[in-house]
Amino acid sequence: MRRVVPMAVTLVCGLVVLLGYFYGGELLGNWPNLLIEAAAFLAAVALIMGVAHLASVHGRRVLKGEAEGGYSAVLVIALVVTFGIGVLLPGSATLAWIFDHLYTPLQATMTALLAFFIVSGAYRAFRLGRAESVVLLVTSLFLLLAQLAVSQRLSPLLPALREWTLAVPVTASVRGILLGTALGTLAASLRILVGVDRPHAQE
Amino acid sequence: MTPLQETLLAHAPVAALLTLALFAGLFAFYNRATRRRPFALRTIAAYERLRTLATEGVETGQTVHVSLGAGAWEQSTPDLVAGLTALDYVSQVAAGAEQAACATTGSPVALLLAMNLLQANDARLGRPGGVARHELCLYGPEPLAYAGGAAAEGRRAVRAAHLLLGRFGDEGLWLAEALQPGRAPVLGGTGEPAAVALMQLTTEHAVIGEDLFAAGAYLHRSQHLGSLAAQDAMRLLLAIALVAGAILASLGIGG
Repeated sequence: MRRVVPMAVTLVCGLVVLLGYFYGGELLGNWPNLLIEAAAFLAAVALIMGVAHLASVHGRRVLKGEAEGGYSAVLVIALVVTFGIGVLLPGSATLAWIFDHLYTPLQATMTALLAFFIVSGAYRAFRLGRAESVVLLVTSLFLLLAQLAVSQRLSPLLPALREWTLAVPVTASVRGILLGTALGTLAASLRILVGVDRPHAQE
Repeated sequence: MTPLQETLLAHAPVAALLTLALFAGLFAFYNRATRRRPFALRTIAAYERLRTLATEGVETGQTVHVSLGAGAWEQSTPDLVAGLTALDYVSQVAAGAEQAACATTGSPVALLLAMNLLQANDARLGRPGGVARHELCLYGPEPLAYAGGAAAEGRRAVRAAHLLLGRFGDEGLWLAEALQPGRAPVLGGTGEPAAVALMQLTTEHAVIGEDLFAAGAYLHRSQHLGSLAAQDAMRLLLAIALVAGAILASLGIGG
Protein backbone atom coordinates (compact mmCIF):
# COMPACT_ATOMS: atom_id res chain seq x y z
CA MET A 1 0.00 0.00 0.00
CA ARG A 2 2.85 2.40 0.90
CA ARG A 3 4.30 1.80 -2.55
CA VAL A 4 1.13 1.62 -4.63
CA VAL A 5 -0.55 4.84 -3.44
CA PRO A 6 2.39 7.19 -4.19
CA MET A 7 2.85 5.46 -7.56
CA ALA A 8 -0.83 5.91 -8.42
CA VAL A 9 -0.77 9.58 -7.38
CA THR A 10 2.40 10.14 -9.45
CA LEU A 11 0.86 8.43 -12.49
CA VAL A 12 -2.46 10.33 -12.34
CA CYS A 13 -0.86 13.74 -11.65
CA GLY A 14 1.76 13.17 -14.37
CA LEU A 15 -0.82 12.18 -16.98
CA VAL A 16 -3.16 15.06 -16.11
CA VAL A 17 -0.37 17.65 -16.39
CA LEU A 18 0.95 16.04 -19.60
CA LEU A 19 -2.45 15.99 -21.30
CA GLY A 20 -3.12 19.51 -20.02
CA TYR A 21 0.07 20.65 -21.75
CA PHE A 22 -1.21 19.41 -25.12
CA TYR A 23 -4.93 20.06 -24.84
CA GLY A 24 -5.18 22.74 -22.12
CA GLY A 25 -8.61 23.57 -20.79
CA GLU A 26 -10.51 21.74 -23.56
CA LEU A 27 -10.15 18.33 -21.99
CA LEU A 28 -9.30 18.68 -18.31
CA GLY A 29 -10.50 22.13 -17.26
CA ASN A 30 -8.34 23.80 -14.66
CA TRP A 31 -6.95 20.59 -13.13
CA PRO A 32 -3.47 20.75 -14.72
CA ASN A 33 -2.93 24.34 -13.53
CA LEU A 34 -4.21 23.43 -10.09
CA LEU A 35 -1.70 20.58 -9.81
CA ILE A 36 1.16 22.78 -10.99
CA GLU A 37 0.20 25.44 -8.43
CA ALA A 38 0.04 22.79 -5.72
CA ALA A 39 3.57 21.67 -6.67
CA ALA A 40 4.78 25.29 -6.53
CA PHE A 41 3.19 25.64 -3.09
CA LEU A 42 4.93 22.47 -1.88
CA ALA A 43 8.23 23.82 -3.26
CA ALA A 44 7.71 27.00 -1.22
CA VAL A 45 7.16 24.92 1.92
CA ALA A 46 10.32 22.97 1.02
CA LEU A 47 12.21 26.28 0.87
CA ILE A 48 11.17 27.10 4.47
CA MET A 49 12.28 23.64 5.59
CA GLY A 50 15.52 24.01 3.62
CA VAL A 51 16.34 27.33 5.28
CA ALA A 52 15.64 25.81 8.71
CA HIS A 53 17.95 22.90 7.84
CA LEU A 54 20.66 25.31 6.66
CA ALA A 55 20.42 27.31 9.89
CA SER A 56 20.53 24.17 12.04
CA VAL A 57 23.56 22.66 10.21
CA HIS A 58 25.61 25.85 10.43
CA GLY A 59 24.34 26.72 13.91
CA ARG A 60 25.63 23.34 15.11
CA ARG A 61 29.01 24.01 13.51
CA VAL A 62 29.28 27.37 15.29
CA LEU A 63 28.30 25.84 18.63
CA LYS A 64 30.81 22.99 18.21
CA GLY A 65 33.54 25.57 17.53
CA GLU A 66 34.66 23.87 14.31
CA ALA A 67 37.76 25.15 12.51
CA GLU A 68 35.76 26.91 9.80
CA GLY A 69 32.92 27.81 12.16
CA GLY A 70 33.56 31.51 11.47
CA TYR A 71 32.17 31.13 7.94
CA SER A 72 29.12 29.37 9.36
CA ALA A 73 28.65 32.23 11.84
CA VAL A 74 28.75 34.79 9.01
CA LEU A 75 26.22 32.70 7.07
CA VAL A 76 23.81 32.40 10.01
CA ILE A 77 24.10 36.12 10.92
CA ALA A 78 23.58 37.18 7.27
CA LEU A 79 20.60 34.83 7.00
CA VAL A 80 18.95 36.10 10.19
CA VAL A 81 19.60 39.80 9.43
CA THR A 82 18.38 39.62 5.80
CA PHE A 83 15.36 37.51 6.75
CA GLY A 84 14.50 39.86 9.62
CA ILE A 85 14.74 43.00 7.49
CA GLY A 86 12.81 41.31 4.67
CA VAL A 87 9.96 40.41 7.02
CA LEU A 88 9.90 43.57 9.15
CA LEU A 89 10.74 46.14 6.45
CA PRO A 90 9.69 44.62 3.11
CA GLY A 91 10.73 46.71 0.12
CA SER A 92 12.68 49.11 2.33
CA ALA A 93 15.83 51.06 1.38
CA THR A 94 17.83 48.94 3.87
CA LEU A 95 16.89 45.75 2.05
CA ALA A 96 17.73 47.36 -1.29
CA TRP A 97 21.10 48.48 0.17
CA ILE A 98 21.93 44.90 1.15
CA PHE A 99 21.26 43.71 -2.39
CA ASP A 100 22.94 46.67 -4.14
CA HIS A 101 26.04 46.96 -1.96
CA LEU A 102 26.65 43.42 -0.71
CA TYR A 103 24.88 40.81 -2.81
CA THR A 104 25.41 42.28 -6.30
CA PRO A 105 29.15 43.07 -5.89
CA LEU A 106 29.80 39.62 -4.42
CA GLN A 107 27.98 37.99 -7.32
CA ALA A 108 29.88 40.16 -9.83
CA THR A 109 33.17 39.14 -8.19
CA MET A 110 32.34 35.47 -8.59
CA THR A 111 31.22 35.99 -12.20
CA ALA A 112 34.49 37.81 -12.97
CA LEU A 113 36.44 34.81 -11.67
CA LEU A 114 34.81 32.65 -14.35
CA ALA A 115 37.09 34.10 -17.06
CA PHE A 116 40.20 33.10 -15.08
CA PHE A 117 38.74 29.69 -14.34
CA ILE A 118 38.10 29.07 -18.06
CA VAL A 119 41.74 29.90 -18.81
CA SER A 120 43.10 27.74 -15.96
CA GLY A 121 40.78 24.86 -16.94
CA ALA A 122 41.83 25.11 -20.59
CA TYR A 123 45.52 25.24 -19.62
CA ARG A 124 45.22 22.15 -17.41
CA ALA A 125 43.20 20.25 -20.02
CA PHE A 126 45.72 21.13 -22.70
CA ARG A 127 48.59 19.91 -20.52
CA LEU A 128 46.80 16.60 -20.07
CA GLY A 129 46.97 16.25 -23.86
CA ARG A 130 43.50 14.84 -24.42
CA ALA A 131 42.40 14.92 -28.05
CA GLU A 132 39.10 16.65 -27.29
CA SER A 133 40.91 19.33 -25.24
CA VAL A 134 43.16 20.07 -28.19
CA VAL A 135 40.13 20.35 -30.51
CA LEU A 136 38.40 22.63 -28.00
CA LEU A 137 41.41 24.87 -27.60
CA VAL A 138 42.18 25.12 -31.33
CA THR A 139 38.52 25.87 -32.14
CA SER A 140 38.29 28.50 -29.39
CA LEU A 141 41.48 30.23 -30.54
CA PHE A 142 40.36 30.10 -34.17
CA LEU A 143 36.93 31.60 -33.37
CA LEU A 144 38.53 34.34 -31.27
CA LEU A 145 40.95 35.15 -34.09
CA ALA A 146 38.27 35.05 -36.78
CA GLN A 147 36.11 37.45 -34.78
CA LEU A 148 38.77 40.18 -34.89
CA ALA A 149 38.30 43.02 -37.36
CA VAL A 150 41.70 42.31 -38.95
CA SER A 151 40.77 38.70 -39.76
CA GLN A 152 39.35 39.85 -43.11
CA ARG A 153 42.75 41.27 -44.01
CA LEU A 154 44.62 38.15 -42.93
CA SER A 155 42.47 36.01 -45.18
CA PRO A 156 39.04 36.61 -46.70
CA LEU A 157 38.29 32.96 -46.00
CA LEU A 158 38.51 33.37 -42.20
CA PRO A 159 35.10 35.06 -41.59
CA ALA A 160 33.40 32.56 -43.91
CA LEU A 161 35.10 29.66 -42.15
CA ARG A 162 34.00 31.06 -38.79
CA GLU A 163 30.39 31.28 -40.00
CA TRP A 164 30.59 27.71 -41.30
CA THR A 165 32.06 26.44 -38.00
CA LEU A 166 29.24 28.02 -36.02
CA ALA A 167 26.48 27.03 -38.42
CA VAL A 168 27.50 23.43 -39.15
CA PRO A 169 29.68 21.57 -36.57
CA VAL A 170 28.69 23.65 -33.53
CA THR A 171 24.95 23.72 -34.30
CA ALA A 172 24.99 20.02 -35.22
CA SER A 173 26.69 19.13 -31.92
CA VAL A 174 24.29 21.25 -29.85
CA ARG A 175 21.28 19.74 -31.63
CA GLY A 176 22.67 16.25 -31.10
CA ILE A 177 23.07 16.92 -27.38
CA LEU A 178 19.59 18.48 -27.16
CA LEU A 179 17.95 15.55 -28.96
CA GLY A 180 19.77 13.08 -26.73
CA THR A 181 18.81 15.04 -23.63
CA ALA A 182 15.17 15.16 -24.76
CA LEU A 183 15.10 11.38 -25.27
CA GLY A 184 16.82 10.84 -21.92
CA THR A 185 14.30 13.14 -20.23
CA LEU A 186 11.44 11.18 -21.80
CA ALA A 187 12.94 7.90 -20.61
CA ALA A 188 13.51 9.22 -17.08
CA SER A 189 9.96 10.62 -16.92
CA LEU A 190 8.42 7.38 -18.17
CA ARG A 191 10.40 5.38 -15.60
CA ILE A 192 8.94 7.52 -12.82
CA LEU A 193 5.42 7.58 -14.29
CA VAL A 194 5.16 3.79 -14.54
CA GLY A 195 6.88 3.24 -11.19
CA VAL A 196 10.03 1.52 -12.46
CA ASP A 197 12.10 4.24 -10.78
CA ARG A 198 11.63 6.01 -7.46
CA PRO A 199 14.77 8.15 -7.32
CA HIS A 200 13.92 9.68 -3.95
CA ALA A 201 13.36 6.36 -2.11
CA GLN A 202 14.55 3.28 -3.91
CA GLU A 203 13.38 -0.04 -2.48
CA MET B 1 5.17 27.54 -45.24
CA THR B 2 4.20 24.57 -47.41
CA PRO B 3 0.82 22.80 -47.00
CA LEU B 4 2.61 19.73 -45.61
CA GLN B 5 4.38 21.81 -42.94
CA GLU B 6 1.09 23.55 -42.06
CA THR B 7 -0.66 20.19 -41.67
CA LEU B 8 2.17 18.84 -39.50
CA LEU B 9 2.14 21.94 -37.27
CA ALA B 10 -1.65 21.79 -36.89
CA HIS B 11 -1.39 18.22 -35.67
CA ALA B 12 1.70 18.71 -33.50
CA PRO B 13 -0.01 17.65 -30.22
CA VAL B 14 -1.27 14.43 -31.82
CA ALA B 15 2.19 13.74 -33.25
CA ALA B 16 3.81 14.40 -29.86
CA LEU B 17 1.37 12.09 -28.08
CA LEU B 18 1.91 9.38 -30.72
CA THR B 19 5.69 9.71 -30.26
CA LEU B 20 5.21 9.41 -26.52
CA ALA B 21 2.98 6.37 -26.95
CA LEU B 22 5.58 4.79 -29.24
CA PHE B 23 8.28 5.46 -26.67
CA ALA B 24 6.08 3.96 -23.92
CA GLY B 25 5.45 0.87 -26.10
CA LEU B 26 9.15 0.40 -26.77
CA PHE B 27 9.84 0.95 -23.09
CA ALA B 28 7.37 -1.78 -22.07
CA PHE B 29 8.75 -4.18 -24.69
CA TYR B 30 12.41 -3.69 -23.76
CA ASN B 31 11.63 -3.69 -20.06
CA ARG B 32 10.36 -7.26 -20.36
CA ALA B 33 13.09 -8.31 -22.78
CA THR B 34 16.02 -7.00 -20.71
CA ARG B 35 14.72 -8.66 -17.55
CA ARG B 36 15.11 -12.01 -19.26
CA ARG B 37 18.32 -11.20 -21.08
CA PRO B 38 20.32 -8.11 -19.98
CA PHE B 39 22.56 -6.65 -22.69
CA ALA B 40 26.16 -5.47 -22.46
CA LEU B 41 26.74 -1.74 -22.09
CA ARG B 42 29.40 0.35 -23.79
CA THR B 43 31.78 2.05 -21.39
CA ILE B 44 31.04 5.52 -20.03
CA ALA B 45 34.31 6.70 -18.51
CA ALA B 46 32.73 8.94 -15.86
CA TYR B 47 30.58 6.16 -14.38
CA GLU B 48 33.44 3.64 -14.49
CA ARG B 49 35.67 6.11 -12.66
CA LEU B 50 32.94 6.87 -10.12
CA ARG B 51 32.58 3.18 -9.29
CA THR B 52 36.34 2.89 -8.75
CA LEU B 53 36.57 6.06 -6.68
CA ALA B 54 33.56 5.20 -4.51
CA THR B 55 35.09 1.79 -3.72
CA GLU B 56 38.51 3.32 -3.05
CA GLY B 57 36.79 5.83 -0.77
CA VAL B 58 35.47 2.99 1.37
CA GLU B 59 39.02 1.68 1.78
CA THR B 60 40.55 5.06 2.59
CA GLY B 61 37.66 6.32 4.71
CA GLN B 62 36.95 9.22 2.36
CA THR B 63 33.51 10.06 1.00
CA VAL B 64 32.45 11.16 -2.48
CA HIS B 65 30.97 14.66 -2.45
CA VAL B 66 27.88 14.70 -4.68
CA SER B 67 26.80 18.10 -5.95
CA LEU B 68 23.21 18.11 -7.25
CA GLY B 69 23.29 21.58 -8.82
CA ALA B 70 21.25 24.69 -8.24
CA GLY B 71 18.54 24.64 -10.90
CA ALA B 72 14.97 25.51 -10.01
CA TRP B 73 12.88 22.37 -9.48
CA GLU B 74 10.59 22.94 -12.46
CA GLN B 75 13.51 23.24 -14.89
CA SER B 76 15.85 20.64 -13.55
CA THR B 77 13.79 17.59 -12.56
CA PRO B 78 15.34 15.07 -15.01
CA ASP B 79 18.90 16.24 -14.25
CA LEU B 80 18.10 16.14 -10.55
CA VAL B 81 16.79 12.57 -10.86
CA ALA B 82 20.13 11.56 -12.41
CA GLY B 83 22.01 13.25 -9.56
CA LEU B 84 19.84 11.54 -6.94
CA THR B 85 20.45 8.17 -8.59
CA ALA B 86 24.20 8.72 -8.34
CA LEU B 87 23.83 9.87 -4.72
CA ASP B 88 21.89 6.69 -3.99
CA TYR B 89 24.72 4.58 -5.43
CA VAL B 90 27.46 6.49 -3.61
CA SER B 91 25.60 6.39 -0.28
CA GLN B 92 24.96 2.64 -0.62
CA VAL B 93 28.64 1.96 -1.26
CA ALA B 94 29.64 4.24 1.64
CA ALA B 95 27.11 2.59 3.95
CA GLY B 96 29.07 -0.66 3.61
CA ALA B 97 31.82 1.00 5.67
CA GLU B 98 29.37 2.90 7.90
CA GLN B 99 30.42 6.15 6.23
CA ALA B 100 28.12 9.15 6.01
CA ALA B 101 27.12 10.54 2.62
CA CYS B 102 28.05 14.06 1.56
CA ALA B 103 25.80 16.04 -0.79
CA THR B 104 25.11 19.68 -1.58
CA THR B 105 22.25 21.25 -3.50
CA GLY B 106 20.82 24.65 -4.29
CA SER B 107 17.26 23.41 -4.53
CA PRO B 108 15.20 22.89 -1.36
CA VAL B 109 13.10 20.27 -3.17
CA ALA B 110 16.28 18.35 -3.98
CA LEU B 111 17.34 18.62 -0.34
CA LEU B 112 14.12 16.99 0.84
CA LEU B 113 14.36 14.26 -1.80
CA ALA B 114 17.98 13.56 -0.86
CA MET B 115 17.03 13.42 2.84
CA ASN B 116 14.26 10.96 2.02
CA LEU B 117 16.63 8.84 -0.06
CA LEU B 118 19.31 8.66 2.65
CA GLN B 119 16.71 7.94 5.34
CA ALA B 120 15.24 5.11 3.24
CA ASN B 121 18.74 3.65 2.70
CA ASP B 122 19.57 3.90 6.42
CA ALA B 123 16.26 2.29 7.38
CA ARG B 124 16.82 -0.57 4.95
CA LEU B 125 20.33 -1.20 6.27
CA GLY B 126 19.25 -0.74 9.90
CA ARG B 127 21.63 2.17 10.52
CA PRO B 128 20.70 4.43 13.45
CA GLY B 129 21.48 8.15 13.72
CA GLY B 130 18.96 9.61 11.30
CA VAL B 131 19.68 11.95 8.43
CA ALA B 132 21.72 14.29 10.69
CA ARG B 133 24.69 11.90 10.51
CA HIS B 134 25.05 12.69 6.80
CA GLU B 135 26.65 15.87 5.46
CA LEU B 136 23.68 17.22 3.56
CA CYS B 137 23.65 20.95 2.84
CA LEU B 138 21.46 23.44 1.02
CA TYR B 139 23.14 26.47 -0.55
CA GLY B 140 21.61 28.85 -3.03
CA PRO B 141 19.24 28.74 -4.93
CA GLU B 142 21.18 31.47 -6.76
CA PRO B 143 23.70 29.48 -8.91
CA LEU B 144 26.94 31.24 -7.99
CA ALA B 145 26.00 31.49 -4.31
CA TYR B 146 25.38 27.77 -4.42
CA ALA B 147 28.74 27.16 -6.09
CA GLY B 148 30.50 29.15 -3.34
CA GLY B 149 28.80 27.15 -0.59
CA ALA B 150 29.26 23.79 -2.32
CA ALA B 151 32.98 24.50 -2.91
CA ALA B 152 33.48 25.24 0.79
CA GLU B 153 31.50 22.14 1.77
CA GLY B 154 33.44 19.95 -0.65
CA ARG B 155 36.73 21.11 0.81
CA ARG B 156 35.77 20.69 4.48
CA ALA B 157 37.39 17.25 4.44
CA VAL B 158 39.61 15.17 2.16
CA ARG B 159 37.21 13.63 -0.38
CA ALA B 160 37.52 10.54 -2.54
CA ALA B 161 36.03 12.52 -5.43
CA HIS B 162 33.64 15.29 -6.30
CA LEU B 163 30.70 14.42 -8.54
CA LEU B 164 28.83 17.32 -10.14
CA LEU B 165 25.70 15.70 -11.53
CA GLY B 166 22.52 17.75 -12.03
CA ARG B 167 21.51 21.05 -13.59
CA PHE B 168 24.54 23.31 -13.95
CA GLY B 169 25.25 26.43 -15.94
CA ASP B 170 28.43 28.53 -15.72
CA GLU B 171 28.59 27.81 -12.01
CA GLY B 172 29.51 24.21 -12.87
CA LEU B 173 32.87 25.45 -14.20
CA TRP B 174 33.28 27.74 -11.18
CA LEU B 175 32.61 24.91 -8.76
CA ALA B 176 34.80 22.37 -10.57
CA GLU B 177 37.73 24.79 -10.65
CA ALA B 178 37.25 25.85 -7.03
CA LEU B 179 37.38 22.18 -6.02
CA GLN B 180 40.59 21.42 -7.99
CA PRO B 181 43.12 22.37 -5.28
CA GLY B 182 41.66 19.57 -3.11
CA ARG B 183 43.44 17.05 -5.39
CA ALA B 184 40.37 14.80 -5.44
CA PRO B 185 39.21 13.97 -8.97
CA VAL B 186 36.23 15.97 -10.21
CA LEU B 187 33.62 14.25 -12.40
CA GLY B 188 30.67 16.04 -13.93
CA GLY B 189 27.56 15.92 -16.07
CA THR B 190 24.61 18.07 -16.99
CA GLY B 191 21.93 18.34 -19.66
CA GLU B 192 22.86 21.93 -20.60
CA PRO B 193 24.90 21.87 -23.86
CA ALA B 194 26.87 25.05 -23.09
CA ALA B 195 27.70 23.91 -19.57
CA VAL B 196 28.75 20.46 -20.81
CA ALA B 197 31.49 22.06 -22.93
CA LEU B 198 32.82 23.86 -19.86
CA MET B 199 32.62 20.69 -17.77
CA GLN B 200 34.44 18.74 -20.47
CA LEU B 201 37.22 21.27 -20.12
CA THR B 202 37.59 21.28 -16.39
CA THR B 203 36.56 17.85 -15.08
CA GLU B 204 38.40 14.56 -15.38
CA HIS B 205 35.42 12.94 -17.13
CA ALA B 206 32.12 14.56 -18.10
CA VAL B 207 28.81 12.86 -18.93
CA ILE B 208 27.25 14.34 -22.07
CA GLY B 209 23.62 14.50 -23.20
CA GLU B 210 21.54 11.35 -22.79
CA ASP B 211 24.39 9.55 -20.95
CA LEU B 212 23.38 11.64 -17.95
CA PHE B 213 20.11 9.73 -17.70
CA ALA B 214 21.82 6.36 -17.95
CA ALA B 215 23.34 6.72 -14.46
CA GLY B 216 21.03 4.12 -12.92
CA ALA B 217 21.64 1.46 -15.58
CA TYR B 218 25.41 1.94 -15.34
CA LEU B 219 25.70 2.18 -11.56
CA HIS B 220 23.31 -0.10 -9.70
CA ARG B 221 19.79 -0.18 -11.09
CA SER B 222 19.57 -2.89 -13.72
CA GLN B 223 15.82 -2.22 -14.07
CA HIS B 224 16.79 0.93 -16.02
CA LEU B 225 18.20 -1.16 -18.86
CA GLY B 226 14.80 -1.40 -20.55
CA SER B 227 14.38 2.36 -20.78
CA LEU B 228 17.95 2.67 -22.05
CA ALA B 229 17.21 0.21 -24.86
CA ALA B 230 13.97 2.09 -25.69
CA GLN B 231 15.98 5.32 -25.75
CA ASP B 232 18.42 3.81 -28.24
CA ALA B 233 15.60 2.50 -30.45
CA MET B 234 13.94 5.92 -30.46
CA ARG B 235 17.25 7.55 -31.34
CA LEU B 236 17.62 5.20 -34.29
CA LEU B 237 14.08 6.03 -35.47
CA LEU B 238 14.79 9.73 -35.04
CA ALA B 239 18.01 9.46 -37.05
CA ILE B 240 16.16 7.63 -39.85
CA ALA B 241 13.42 10.31 -39.80
CA LEU B 242 16.01 13.11 -39.98
CA VAL B 243 17.86 11.52 -42.89
CA ALA B 244 14.57 10.79 -44.71
CA GLY B 245 13.42 14.38 -44.11
CA ALA B 246 16.70 15.75 -45.44
CA ILE B 247 16.47 13.57 -48.58
CA LEU B 248 12.82 14.56 -49.19
CA ALA B 249 13.63 18.25 -48.69
CA SER B 250 16.61 17.95 -51.07
CA LEU B 251 14.34 16.39 -53.70
CA GLY B 252 11.87 19.24 -53.20
CA ILE B 253 9.14 16.98 -51.81
CA GLY B 254 7.11 18.67 -49.07
CA GLY B 255 9.85 21.24 -48.46
